Amino acid sequence: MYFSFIRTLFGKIDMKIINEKLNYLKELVFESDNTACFIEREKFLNNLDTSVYNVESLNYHANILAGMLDNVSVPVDENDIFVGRVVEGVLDSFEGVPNRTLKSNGHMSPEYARLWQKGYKGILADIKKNAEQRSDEKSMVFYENARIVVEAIRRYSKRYADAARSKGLTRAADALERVPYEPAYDLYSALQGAWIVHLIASCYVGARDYAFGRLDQSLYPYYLKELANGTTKEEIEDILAGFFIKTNEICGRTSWNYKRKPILCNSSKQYVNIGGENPNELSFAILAAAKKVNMAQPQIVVLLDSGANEKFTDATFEALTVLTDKMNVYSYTSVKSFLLEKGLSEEIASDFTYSACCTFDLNHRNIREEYFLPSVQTFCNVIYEKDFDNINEIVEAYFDALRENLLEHLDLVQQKVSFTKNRKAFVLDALLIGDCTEKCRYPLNGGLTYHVYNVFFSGIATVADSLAAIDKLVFEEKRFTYREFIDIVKSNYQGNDDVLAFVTSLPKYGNDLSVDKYAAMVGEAFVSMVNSISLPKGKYAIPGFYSLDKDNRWAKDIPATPDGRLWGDPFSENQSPTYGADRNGITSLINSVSRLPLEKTATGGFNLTFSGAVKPEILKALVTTFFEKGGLHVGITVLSRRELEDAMKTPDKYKSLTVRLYGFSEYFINMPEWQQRAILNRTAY
Amino acid sequence: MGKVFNIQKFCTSDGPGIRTTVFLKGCPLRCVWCHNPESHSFSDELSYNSDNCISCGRCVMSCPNQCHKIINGGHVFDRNACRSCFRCIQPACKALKRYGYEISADEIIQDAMKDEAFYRNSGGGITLSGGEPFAQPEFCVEILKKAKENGLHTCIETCGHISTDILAQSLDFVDLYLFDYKETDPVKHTEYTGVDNTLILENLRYINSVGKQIILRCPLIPTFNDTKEHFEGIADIANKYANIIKVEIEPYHDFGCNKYEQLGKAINEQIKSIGVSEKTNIEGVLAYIQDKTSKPVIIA
Repeated sequence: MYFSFIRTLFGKIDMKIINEKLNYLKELVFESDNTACFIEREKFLNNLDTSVYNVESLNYHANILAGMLDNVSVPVDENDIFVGRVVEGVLDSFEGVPNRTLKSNGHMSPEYARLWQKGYKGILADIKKNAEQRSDEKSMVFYENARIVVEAIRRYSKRYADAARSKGLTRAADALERVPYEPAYDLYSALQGAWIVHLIASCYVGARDYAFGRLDQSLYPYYLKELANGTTKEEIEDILAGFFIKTNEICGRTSWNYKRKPILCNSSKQYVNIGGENPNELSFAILAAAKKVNMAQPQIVVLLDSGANEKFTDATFEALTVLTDKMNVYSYTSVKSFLLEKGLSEEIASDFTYSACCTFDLNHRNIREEYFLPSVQTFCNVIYEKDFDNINEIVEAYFDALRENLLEHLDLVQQKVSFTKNRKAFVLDALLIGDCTEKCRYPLNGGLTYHVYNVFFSGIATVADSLAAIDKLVFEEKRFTYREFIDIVKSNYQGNDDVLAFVTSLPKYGNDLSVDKYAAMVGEAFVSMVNSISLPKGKYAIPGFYSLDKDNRWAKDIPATPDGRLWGDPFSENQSPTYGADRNGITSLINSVSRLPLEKTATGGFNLTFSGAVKPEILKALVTTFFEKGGLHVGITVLSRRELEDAMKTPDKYKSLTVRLYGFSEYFINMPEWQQRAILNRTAY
Repeated sequence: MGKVFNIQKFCTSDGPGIRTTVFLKGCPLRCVWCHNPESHSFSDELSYNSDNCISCGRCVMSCPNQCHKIINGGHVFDRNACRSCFRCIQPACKALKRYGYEISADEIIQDAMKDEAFYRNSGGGITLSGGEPFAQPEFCVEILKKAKENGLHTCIETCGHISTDILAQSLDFVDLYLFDYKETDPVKHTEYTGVDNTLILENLRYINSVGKQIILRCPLIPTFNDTKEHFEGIADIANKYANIIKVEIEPYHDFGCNKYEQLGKAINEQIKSIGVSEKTNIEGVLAYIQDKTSKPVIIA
């Protein structure tokens, strides 16, 4: 075994060696070529032998995956703590890369607990039994696909076991002789098995955002077994650190929309959720391991229960001061209460997770869709086109338009997805969704009990401040008629510098002032709209205030707004005020954001930026107060303006510098310049 | 009513926890290193920051005394002609700023109470600073009294150069005194601050004698008070008074330098050069003082 090997050599665990290995593995990530693709996958798919892989076959995608796994290399680095790598290389042409002949859905948290408990062997036996009972064609196809995929993974793991053994990595080799086909027998084997599955799902089938769910809960039995085997807590932290480093090896180091790595899991965020009602010793170990790694992945999500033991809360904020942008804190209490109100059972409402871009899941029970309402565009259309006599009329017309847009979208996504498309997307994923294996159906062909739609409102501050400006200038002070003012805005304030200066200087959302009422009003209208939408049983629309990168990406097509924003300028991000508008301190900012009806949402994000280190007890006070006031989520960035400016000039010195962007962490030097400048323009406290 | 020049939320270095700090205008001292020159005068003041001026000319149109002119496309400000009417400050102007406004104690408390939950969860509260808050004695005590009525933890940062009678009036309403200790040598003290330190030391003795908690706040100014004699003086004072619970060393920063120019005030030339030429071994200073006292010595 790996650690036994070190013990034998040195009589006891040699921390220096562990740390050297961790540092070496970290360096490998930074040295990797971000323009390289998973070259063996690409070559295999580009040269498919159609006499072997018949597109008409009901097992087409499963057979391709099996063929690929039998053909690709199984590289092992002698410093690997967990094995499972993908050969990378640069192709002469990027055209058609990555190949999408095989492409999964991702955006889900596979049910690893079941894999560890039963192994693929047990899961396959269940599927067989269920398919035979059903004895319909679709069930039998599902089983046959499952069998092909499981057997291929078994062969692939065996080859990896041999490769690991040849490099002296006995513990990995021993594990892969058994997992993931057979049940896991300790923490190391559980994680080694999960890594092989995660690697295949992300890199070979291909998709971003497979998350690890509530890892401290699902992995806890194996943590206890590991302790019982005599592994110390510190050694367990090292095992976890070794696992966490792996998550950085597969997704590239750039944003999905800029110089992205030519792979299907480019910029895939790797989420690990911990906490909830029962944080345990493993929750602490996960925080410790994440601090030790301190890289962009994984993103640690703490679900903070208001009744959580103080020690865990303190450990969370202590970790937040170290991990900063690599960590998310959500109010477990608020979300659970919201889900109970939505009619979900206690069991389901207690077991939610976050993965990828602040989006919400019922852990492994659902797949999800995300929809960004064109909220600022629609606002401009409404206020430009029609005249209004008061603010309420505007809000009513605005939400009529948004509702129409949302219903149209939901209709579209609810249209039946073809069986073939499902089989392609879920050739591997469906084996780790309990409902699917039970029903022998792919998720969108009747396999899933739950389907979640994350519906996002972006630009809340831009819309709210615009309403405030209209109310003051037109309806209260009557400086202009409605049409006069809107025409000035519509002209991009051309020749009206005084009006522009005046609206710019008006009090804005984010300063704990009465003007926050407009954000509250729009927020309430939004959550009521989403929460009142009637969907078929098991389908849930979940509202959230979140922009991702729409604040910039959509901005160029959005005309001027009454808050003084000019045509093409970014609108506001997530739940935040317009950049630079919050000038009254962070507590005022939090008080303002608390006026949004966040307790009626379960998704979305709020980023706080600090200009220097913050003490854990201060972070704890800020976040717990925010949650007391109904807050949902906090992510932080700690940045020094001087450092960021220097990083723009001499990027090579700052390869590991990360900042928080939207709902995750990104390497600063790998962002486009406009985005770097946007980060610099944030109000830093 | 009283006069303040700033109310700052989320202060984490003016007493324990998260605090709202109220900066009262006016100060009896003129410390050469003061980074808040806008606090000196009891009157409202106009600041002009040429870096933020876009020469839009809107101030020219609104000034009744022709203080502002646009000459060759650039803004020129004649401060001598200014009558402090502040009409020149137009919406969205980032170059002109008024320091000082009238406000009541009730309004201050109402504003501070918005952050009550943050104080509760962090052990924070309200801090009065300045200027010298006791330089507006009735107003200062009224704010403190109302803060206590609202259950807030209170701190006051004082230079100590105030009447002991006024200090006595505050005792029931102050939880923690942040007491400045700027220079041990009396002659240098007068030279650096403009006042003798006899009254200051007497007030420090008095607060200690009545059992109120004190944090000794010591600005560390290279080439002025970074002397062994002063460091030993800090340790001696900390040892002498039982109710000094902590010593905070405040390293010099040059954030205030530009403000002098923007307010039309002269800055000490020696101070001006500190930022670029002088470095102090802060850790060494902390260790030196800590070696001589059992009270915690930290960087503020």
